[in-house]
Amino acid sequence: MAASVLLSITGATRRFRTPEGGSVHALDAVDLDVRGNEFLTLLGPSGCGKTTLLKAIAGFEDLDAGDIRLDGASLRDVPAHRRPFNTVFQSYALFPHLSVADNVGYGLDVARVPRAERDRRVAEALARVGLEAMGRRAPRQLSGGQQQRVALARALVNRPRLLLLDEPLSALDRHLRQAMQGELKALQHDVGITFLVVTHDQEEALAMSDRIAVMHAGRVRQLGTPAEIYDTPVDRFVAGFVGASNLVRGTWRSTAHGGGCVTTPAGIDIHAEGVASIANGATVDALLRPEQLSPIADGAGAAGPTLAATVASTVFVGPDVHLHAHLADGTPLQALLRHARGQALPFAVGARVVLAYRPAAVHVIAAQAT
Amino acid sequence: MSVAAHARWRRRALLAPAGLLLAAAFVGPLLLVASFSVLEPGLYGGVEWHWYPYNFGRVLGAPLGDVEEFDAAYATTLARSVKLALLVTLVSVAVCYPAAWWVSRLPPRRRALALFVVTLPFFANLIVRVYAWMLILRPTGVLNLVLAALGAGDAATDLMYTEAAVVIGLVYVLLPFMFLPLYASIEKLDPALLAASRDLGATPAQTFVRVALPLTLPGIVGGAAIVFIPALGNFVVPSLLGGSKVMLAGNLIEQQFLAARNWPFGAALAMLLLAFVLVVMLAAAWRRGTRGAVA
Amino acid sequence: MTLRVRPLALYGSVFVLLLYAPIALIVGYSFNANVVNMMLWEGFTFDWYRAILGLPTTLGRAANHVDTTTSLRAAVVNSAVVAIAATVVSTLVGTAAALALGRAPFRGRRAWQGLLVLPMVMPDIVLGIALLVFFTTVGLPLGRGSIVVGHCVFLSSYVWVIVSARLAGLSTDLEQASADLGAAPFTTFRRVTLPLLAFIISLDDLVITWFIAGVDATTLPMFIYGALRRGIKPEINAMATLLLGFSFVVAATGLWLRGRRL
Repeated sequence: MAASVLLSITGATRRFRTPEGGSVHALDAVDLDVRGNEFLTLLGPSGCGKTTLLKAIAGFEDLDAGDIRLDGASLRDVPAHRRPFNTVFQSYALFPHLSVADNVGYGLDVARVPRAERDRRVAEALARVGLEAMGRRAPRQLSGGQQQRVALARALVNRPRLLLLDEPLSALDRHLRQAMQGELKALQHDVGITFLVVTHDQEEALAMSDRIAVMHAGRVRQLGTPAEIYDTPVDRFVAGFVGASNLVRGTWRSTAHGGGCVTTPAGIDIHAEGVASIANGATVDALLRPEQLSPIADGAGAAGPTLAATVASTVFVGPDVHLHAHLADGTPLQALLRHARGQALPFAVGARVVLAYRPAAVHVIAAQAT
Repeated sequence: MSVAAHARWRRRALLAPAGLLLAAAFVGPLLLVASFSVLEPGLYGGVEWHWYPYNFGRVLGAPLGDVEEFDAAYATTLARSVKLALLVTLVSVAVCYPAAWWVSRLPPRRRALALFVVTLPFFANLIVRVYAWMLILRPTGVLNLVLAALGAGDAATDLMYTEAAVVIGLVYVLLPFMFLPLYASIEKLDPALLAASRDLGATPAQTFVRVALPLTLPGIVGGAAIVFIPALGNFVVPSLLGGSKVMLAGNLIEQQFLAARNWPFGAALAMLLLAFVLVVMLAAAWRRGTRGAVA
Repeated sequence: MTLRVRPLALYGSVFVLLLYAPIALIVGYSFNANVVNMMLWEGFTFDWYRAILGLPTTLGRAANHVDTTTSLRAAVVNSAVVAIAATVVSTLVGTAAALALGRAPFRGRRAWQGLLVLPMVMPDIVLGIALLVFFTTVGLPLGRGSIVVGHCVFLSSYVWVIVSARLAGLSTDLEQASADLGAAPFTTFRRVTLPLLAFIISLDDLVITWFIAGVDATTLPMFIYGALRRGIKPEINAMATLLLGFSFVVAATGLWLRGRRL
């Protein structure tokens, strides 16, 4: 599906001076296309440049180089208040001197939308976020979750081309956060407006997004669907940042049809399939997600390749048990075990364990200088 | 002794000095002035202890139907005082608001320094600060010297002993009273709210009127009240920069007490001044009370 | 964003400049050697300072301006005595009131607070005439004593406000534990910073003093005010500069200590 490009970011660069007199790249030649009607997430650790990029799009931050185009037209000389985007701020930034309804109606008021239409659209927006009865309240009389809904309604009521959300769920408690993930996704589908979300929470990004752009040190490291990011990360950083991961370094030996084997310096082999374009003898990282490793107590009945390990610890988290083990050369590995009610764990600390895996579940990453 | 009784005695002991001082040297004297305002002036200064309502009549006479002692000059002077005090307040807000905004948006270390720099002249002696403006505004003063040096000698003006000079002097002297409350309220203004307003399509001007101004109004009201009150009663600035041409309420009161020695009439004028002050304070307090009530 | 900040920074610089320029003028002119026209710069001299201190000057005419060195000295002494006495008394009175009112609320607390605020919001002139009327009616002589009482009325309120603000940031536990680490900064504040500020405010007062000083207890601001009403003379520049320097040193020390949260 070739979705149309809504916003096109090319070579976006932003430098900040450090107190020591040097300069750091908050954005380093970022290229990114935002498609119409998608849910795109900028994911990365703090300081990766994601918030700077969001501010540059909203118009609160100038670029030192590069451009941002909306429908092909540059936004360089368009001030923040003329950009057809709206933002849901991390702190919500609700106006404390205005009622909830007046907060939502603010954008319509400054745009001089006629009173009747303004009132109708405010009521509609409040109803959409389930706050139709709260219009006359002051923002501080609402809970954190309700305040966030007001912030959403205040932005959406203007029917922006693009909705920017800055860490939208970070101020909410854990339960509310999970509920809101689903709601945000449904809301985006409902209103048909492109959502661009900034977050440092990879679970949140995986749960909500159509696509994720993983950012690190001012660059977009990988852009793809949640499954692509999770299953085939392009480098160690992405592999490590998104999801729990076992990364084992070794030398690549290829066999036929994209198959081959990663051999660690200690001589342990990890078999892989479907690997393309990695030169024989290259240094690589084998990525084994914990849920792709099946611990077997006695080693019997394993159909495919296995790794011999020693149990270091087990952690019970409810639905799953996290099994921490290490290979003969000391490489730590984590495996996931489904918890079965009424069954004792068969793995004592210090016991031998065999970890079975499918070669197709192993992702091989060419090691880079970084 | 119980803990509560002990606390009560401790409190009484701590409050006694302030209570005695204020009762003897503040409340008592004020009540005395209030009663003087309705007593008859003595022939050679001092006061005759008779009921005598005509002190107020000299100022407000005509409206009260009491024209015998009425002299419109007094009412005119009071009105001029109120007018100039309002003007001083407005100018102070206009001058201080952008400066307070600037300081509040500086990085913390430089902000502390800027606050120090702005506050320090406040501690310069009042009379010295007024004198500085005499040096600037007098006909042979610095302002005209600078104008002449710039080749604009024709534009030389004599601002000395004008209402403009009095306003300039009062603004300069009272500036810190306006700056500090303004700064305090602007500093509390969350920049995210300004960004949110811009984000929702408001121009910088709309953002200022719809968000910044209402949220910093407490500072404006507070600053206005504590600038207006001393501006209304000040007699030093008008006597040095206004001379005999720009008489204000303060000069009138001073004259009655130190020159004319008509204390009851001076007391009546002071009571009228206090009435204005009371109105301003109540207005400011009412504003504080209604602040934040939404819809 | 950076573009929008610049005009504001420019305005701020002009604001600070205009705040200090008038004061700087006085300082500059105090060294002007021109005896004929004090507004035109002719050269550098210390003569005006020598003149007000009663020292011989090189400018023969200058000495003629100063017929008042003795009364100037008396004014300085009066100001110092009054400021020291008023500072000591009002620091004790105001701090005691703050300690009493800063704790748990009690009945009548708001009335006390209102009473203590009043001297500060009252126009100076009303307080001045009230004290004049009071002292005269009661028959107390006007002089240094009456000035000290007058200053104590409004200084106690200042002290109360400042100490209350400090107490609000300090727990009563800290306040009670005199040997506690946290009590040390508070003590420094009470002993050093606060009196410095109170001292300056007392030294600065003209209006209230004007009404209750009587004939013999002229203070420094009164002296300068009186001189200015008679006309501008170059010696006033030197006097004003000395007073400025003194106020700034004391106030800067006080503000600096306060900035360091002492």
